Amino acid sequence: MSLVSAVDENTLAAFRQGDERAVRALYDAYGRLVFAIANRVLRDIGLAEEAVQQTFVQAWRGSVTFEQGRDPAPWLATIARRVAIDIQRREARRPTSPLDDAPPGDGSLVTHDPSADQLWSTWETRAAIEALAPDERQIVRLQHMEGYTQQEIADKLGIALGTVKSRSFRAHRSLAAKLRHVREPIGEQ
Amino acid sequence: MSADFDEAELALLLVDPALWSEPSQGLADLVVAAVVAEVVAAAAAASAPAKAPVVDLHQWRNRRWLAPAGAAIGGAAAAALLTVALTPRHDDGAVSSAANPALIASLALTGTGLATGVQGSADVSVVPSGVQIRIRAPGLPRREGDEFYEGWLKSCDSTRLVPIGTFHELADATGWAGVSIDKHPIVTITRESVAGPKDVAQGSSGEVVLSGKLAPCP
Repeated sequence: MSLVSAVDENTLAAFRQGDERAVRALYDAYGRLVFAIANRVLRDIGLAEEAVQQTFVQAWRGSVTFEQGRDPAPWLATIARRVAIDIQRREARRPTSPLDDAPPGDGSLVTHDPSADQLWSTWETRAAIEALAPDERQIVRLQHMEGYTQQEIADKLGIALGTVKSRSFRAHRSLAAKLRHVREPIGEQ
Repeated sequence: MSADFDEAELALLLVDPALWSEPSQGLADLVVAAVVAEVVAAAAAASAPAKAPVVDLHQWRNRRWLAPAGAAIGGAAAAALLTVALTPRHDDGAVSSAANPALIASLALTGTGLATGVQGSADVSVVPSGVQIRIRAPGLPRREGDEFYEGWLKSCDSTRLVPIGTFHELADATGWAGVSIDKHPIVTITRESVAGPKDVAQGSSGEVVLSGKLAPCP
């Protein structure tokens, strides 16, 4: 099952009632995407997980005003961004170590909050990644996140170079198609 | 309309580590527990005539008249007040109950200077009325008569203290609370004794014998 499949109206109605199973279903559908946004803002897995919890709590608090029939994804993304930025500001008020000690990408080195468009791109990109077949996702990760060449991936996974190339081609074609609509906002930034 | 990305453009998007990090396996349980606790607390606040049993630590100090039995009755009444329309269900469709709780966290309890070397554990589960905390600390000596132990959930800044029950022994004891555990992640056990009849409430003595944390405090 895709992690990005939308939950149905019955699940959303049960979520409004605080039903445990509905909360879990909403988390299963959107939890990793909320986590990706929080982690994009906070660059800290522990804080991002705290933000995920707060996001779902705030989503439940606001669920009575959530319009039926709408896609909950943008609504959750907006809450996640706000919660993560609040946590980031809270952490910024805490005593800090010298900047020289901070690793690259540390939240304390970030001077501007990511825009809503940037975070929505993060959400969409993560969703597109989640929709890939596991073997394609693995190759994309090794290629882009770990920086391996296709030959190195083939050696590492013990598969033919041609297999790597075909999986990589399929994965990138799928990603390109799914992310077409986020291209313009990214280009404008 | 834009054309598809080429691989170089995709690479710029996909290089962000935030896209590839995975949350902990247990995060789903924590999210469910946090929301359910919030639902329970909101329902209790809406239905209970008095305020929820989250108390200001300073107001509770030096007020101590409830005997353990009386406190237990008070706790049961509070639990009854906190019973709400919520009926949390597990994936298998079973209804959470005190007899069938959904375990969400376990933590170690460590003895303080008042109970050096004593170790214990606490299992936290979601039940319809809130959270259930099962405490096992067989190394603590039994207390008798007007002397007892009391369990608490405490906020990270130590300003809010929620009683979870009073006990003569803690070899295997169970307490309850109707608050959000992510806001009260510290579990403590104090040494108590029944105070004079002129006091209006029984508060924490501050004599902590065991403590542990459900999650690191900020």
